[in-house]
Amino acid sequence: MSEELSLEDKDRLLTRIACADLMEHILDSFGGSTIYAVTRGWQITHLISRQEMVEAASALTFEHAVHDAAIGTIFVPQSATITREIAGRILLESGQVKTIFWEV
Amino acid sequence: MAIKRFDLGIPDYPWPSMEVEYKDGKYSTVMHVVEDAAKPLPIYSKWFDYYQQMGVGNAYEKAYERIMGIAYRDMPVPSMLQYFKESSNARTPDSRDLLELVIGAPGMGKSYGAQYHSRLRDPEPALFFDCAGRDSGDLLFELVLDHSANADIYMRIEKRIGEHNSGKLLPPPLLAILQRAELRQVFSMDGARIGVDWNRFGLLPKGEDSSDRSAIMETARTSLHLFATEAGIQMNGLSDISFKEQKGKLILAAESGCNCILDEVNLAKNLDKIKVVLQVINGEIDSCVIADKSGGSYMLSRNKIELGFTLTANGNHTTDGNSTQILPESIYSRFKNKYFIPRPTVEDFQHRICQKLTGLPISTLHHMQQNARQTQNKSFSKEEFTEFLHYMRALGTEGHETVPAYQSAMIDHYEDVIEASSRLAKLYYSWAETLDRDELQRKMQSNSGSAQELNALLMETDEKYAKEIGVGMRMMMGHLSSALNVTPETIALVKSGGFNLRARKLPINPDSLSPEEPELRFGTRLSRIIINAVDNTSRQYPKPAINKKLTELLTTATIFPPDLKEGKRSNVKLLAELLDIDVLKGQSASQQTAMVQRLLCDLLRSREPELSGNNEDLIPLSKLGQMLTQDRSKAVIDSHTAVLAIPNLDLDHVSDHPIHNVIIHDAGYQPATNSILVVPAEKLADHDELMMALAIPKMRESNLPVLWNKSLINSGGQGACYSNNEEDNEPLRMAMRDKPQCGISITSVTCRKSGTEAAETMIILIHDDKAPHTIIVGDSIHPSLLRMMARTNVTYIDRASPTATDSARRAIDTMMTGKPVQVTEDLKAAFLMRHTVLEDYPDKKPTFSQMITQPITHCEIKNYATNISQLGAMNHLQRALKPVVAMGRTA
Repeated sequence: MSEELSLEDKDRLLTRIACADLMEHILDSFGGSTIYAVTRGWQITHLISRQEMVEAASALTFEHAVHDAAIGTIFVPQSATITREIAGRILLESGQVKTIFWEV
Repeated sequence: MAIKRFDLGIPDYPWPSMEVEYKDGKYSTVMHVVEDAAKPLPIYSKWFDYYQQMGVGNAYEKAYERIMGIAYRDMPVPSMLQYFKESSNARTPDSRDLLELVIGAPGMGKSYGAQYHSRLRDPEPALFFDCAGRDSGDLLFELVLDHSANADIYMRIEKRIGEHNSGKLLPPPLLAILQRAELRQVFSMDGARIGVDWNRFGLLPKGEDSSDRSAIMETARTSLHLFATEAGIQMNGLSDISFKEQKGKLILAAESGCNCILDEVNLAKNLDKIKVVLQVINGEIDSCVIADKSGGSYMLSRNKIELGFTLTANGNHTTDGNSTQILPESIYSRFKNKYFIPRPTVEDFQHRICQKLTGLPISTLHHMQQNARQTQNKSFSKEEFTEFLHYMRALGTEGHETVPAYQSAMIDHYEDVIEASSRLAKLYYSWAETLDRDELQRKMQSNSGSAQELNALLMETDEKYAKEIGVGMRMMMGHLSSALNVTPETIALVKSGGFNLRARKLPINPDSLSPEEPELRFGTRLSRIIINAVDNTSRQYPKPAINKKLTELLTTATIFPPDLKEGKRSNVKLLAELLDIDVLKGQSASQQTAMVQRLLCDLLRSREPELSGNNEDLIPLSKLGQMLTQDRSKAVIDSHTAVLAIPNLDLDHVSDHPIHNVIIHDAGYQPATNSILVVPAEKLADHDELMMALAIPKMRESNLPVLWNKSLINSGGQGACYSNNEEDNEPLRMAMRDKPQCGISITSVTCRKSGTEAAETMIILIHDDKAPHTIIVGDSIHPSLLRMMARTNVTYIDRASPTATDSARRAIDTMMTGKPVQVTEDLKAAFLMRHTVLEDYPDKKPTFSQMITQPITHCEIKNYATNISQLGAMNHLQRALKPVVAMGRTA
């Protein structure tokens, strides 16, 4: 069996699994960015707690996240005041490639 | 941020460019490459500085990977490559040519091209300004909603809308306020969800003139105030909603050294307002004073313009649409670098399709490789090119982007994608040509094509219709996006099970659906979308000549099968077949092994969330491959016993023995001892391991046949002896898989419940050799196994699901479609040879689907899957399986 691994390695693997679980249902795509429909579960909690993704509850926070090169993944909760039209415009105008998890 | 040079177009990494050639009296555009270490294409970029500031050790390497990855992945279409090369050469730190004007057809990707320049050079995105109907003065200073003043009001409005999105709906009168024209850009609707974008305050929907923004803002303020008060949000008055003036995007970009993109610049109002600023940027004058809207002034001097700033103005050809205008000469002449993008070609369409499906322009990359010097006389291997594509797809994405699984799957099938994208590109290109009056007239004049057909098309085509349909790159990309969305599919009525006329209870929705990979039925969905688009825009319009032409195009693109009456059946695959990508099909042995490795590791991790280590540490590919390709021809030992190869999910042994053997031993009657065998549950194989062995196609192929054995005939099952009347033998043949006439067989296997030490569970299998189609009933399994089964003709029924019986009924009905009713009866009889229905079942008459899904049956003659790790332990097995129950029968 493999040697005991660091917490960091374990987190990295859990992140990979969480992302794979969440990237099942494509809702939309804008430029190179893809929006996936997701439901809340351990995957979202894990990714947010490990700062692998940020939560955007408004158009303003969403735009900040899209413009930040250090952020690759954004979670949009169901209560967020963002529609796909807004998300699409921000993504297209920025030309950035992001992964968006959209709570449905 | 500091700027550092990185090179594209070096040996081993050639960079494509389109060049015009003149040969035999004709112009043509052909692909060339830049491939010179001494004279490459320079990219001056801030990415190095970004990584350095992030504290990344190997910042240069990381930056180069990021730039190279973006460069190849997001490469502009071939027709824009010349623009990209020339524009890149102009973007040097000492350049004074900071203004560029890009003119081309709509949808060509002009904005994309400018953003691409920006992505290569700057971690910060370009500042984008949509000029359509906007006053150009907004580029310098703009009046915006000051939502930082009285921030709590805006927060409360957003909070109320957030509550609406969570289910506490706004009353209709309040919704109506949000839908007023002056607020429609601020509040957008997406089904029941409402979005708020305060930055759009004072703008009207596209196509409506927003140049008098202050007037619109006043109206919007009144409406917003009304909404807030109606929603119970306390305000002192209209003055609570205030505006402020801020620097426009052009000034901000110049000061921060980022790119500024003016989209649809020839639709802008009052462009003269920015002339003086353009003069400063150009170096014609050193500085200028700009008056803001509140009477103040701002001085822009050339030394305020930061390194990295470029202004790209995009405009459409003046022949496109009705509302375009030529740029004023005073503005036009300020742009020293003007680029005219040619009309899109078939190759451009193909390039974009490939980018959408794989994240890489594989048609262009393949063309480059195929025509390269070293491969002209020597073809490159498919595996090597696939690996290269995967490398390019992932290059520099770490921490920025996650590669979607469907793109990886499409890359694995890149040859099919190239073929299909070529057909699709020709279809969309020709479709656009069919609706282009200029093109039709040109063909008429040059006598190319049937005059009658061209005339008919000209009669039916006009600019309004062509604009309404909007065929071209944008339509194509829209179709591709829609097809990536997994939607319910329709089936022909003859395949439908119809209404259950006796059902009086609605089925319960299962908690989780089994999701489907977007690529699995992508081609089928895309074909359906295209057929619908053609039908809606031509046959039902009606435009008979256009419909006839488009039908021909659909046939050429193999969206419709060729007319078989006209000739023999073609071997050409349909477009749907090419793009219905199944990662399980057509894989090489090494690809299948890698897939099994991934699956096994995922399953192990789902059982042990804390488990770490990479896949190769957990299960070495070499060992797995060796075991998967073992000769299984001697799997059947005797009529009672067979050997199954199954994945090992035992963490302590999986790395040494990723595959182990399980013995299927029928516990039927043992004549020698006048008894039946009972195997203790702790010695049974794990349910999930068995399921893996049945889910992985390669393993299922060899394992499935050995789950049936011929021992029933000796073991005392109901009717377990052949009769002289052949018709009576069908159930026994089904239970033993002894060439049943209908091709359907049934059996059950007893194993250990996963996650327990000694609890027994059972798997029921029904297999149709002729379809082939397998129904398996078992415990809950991992979704990845479910998906794998679903796509390889296995219907899995989770007996814990509230819909298990309904699902079983539907699956059996599907399997029995077109077969005599007797087959179902025989199947039930075959099942009852091993099982009995418990007497305490309430209505005494369980249906077959109830029998196989609910705990109302008892297995009398078990088919044990016994966990013996090595075949050599057969003797041990014989000892372990001591006869413990006397049957009291005569031999």
